[in-house]
Amino acid sequence: MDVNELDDAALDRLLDQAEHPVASSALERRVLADFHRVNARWSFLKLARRIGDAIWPDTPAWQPVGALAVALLIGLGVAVFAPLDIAQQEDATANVFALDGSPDVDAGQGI
Amino acid sequence: MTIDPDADLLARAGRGEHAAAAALMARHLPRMLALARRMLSDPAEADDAVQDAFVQLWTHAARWEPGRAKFSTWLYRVTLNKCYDRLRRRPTAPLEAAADVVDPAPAADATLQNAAISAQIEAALAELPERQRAAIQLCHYQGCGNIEAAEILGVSVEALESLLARGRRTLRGKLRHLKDV
Repeated sequence: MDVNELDDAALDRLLDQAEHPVASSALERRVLADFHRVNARWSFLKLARRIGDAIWPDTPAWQPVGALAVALLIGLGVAVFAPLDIAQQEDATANVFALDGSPDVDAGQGI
Repeated sequence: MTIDPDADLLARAGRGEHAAAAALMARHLPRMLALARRMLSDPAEADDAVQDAFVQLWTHAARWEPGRAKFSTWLYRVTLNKCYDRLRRRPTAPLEAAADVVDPAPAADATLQNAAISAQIEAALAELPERQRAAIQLCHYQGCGNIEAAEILGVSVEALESLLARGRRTLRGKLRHLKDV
């Protein structure tokens, strides 16, 4: 190293002499005004987040979204598979009623 | 696991609490401003860059997920990016003009002399390439460790160390006349 060159410690001391900027109160006011402006802005996401916080507070967004997705999958599963069973049950019930109500049925009593 | 000291303030600011927003601002504004002033060498433009960074913070506060990243690292990266945006938009390189402000003549008055020294240091910093300047600002003035500074700059730790070494070498050369100050 050149004898005239600064060593690391001397450079650090010099760098420490540089002035430290102070934030003006005008800038602080601008920053806080922005905070209120951004908060006053309506958005669907913000509304959804508020509803989510009310129902499921202090959780990351993926938890209620995940629960909703699972519920949706279960619902779709039921919707796809359950109607077949219901239809079959309805057919069977209809047949029983048809047999009970038929005037042509001869029970073998000869009356 | 370390707890981010800003997490609670962020969550409350995200819910619209003025006091939490003011506390966050008090915690981070001075260092963000120091970073922006050194990067831009223009107080008014630095104020605007910091204000832009805070708008981004207020917009994202409610969506912040603790544990994904350290908040201060994210915030300084946002501030740095706002500075880079403004530097890119500049038509010419006004940093040379910042260097012209320096008056190396010795001042009789100690305050004036300190101000002159400070101005020379600022000018030397302003003349550094922007990434070297950012590295020195983060590591020397903001007190960031190498890992955090590298994360903010989006470079590897080795690249950061190289930026620091080159920046400091340049500064040692430019400020050698202040050796005996």
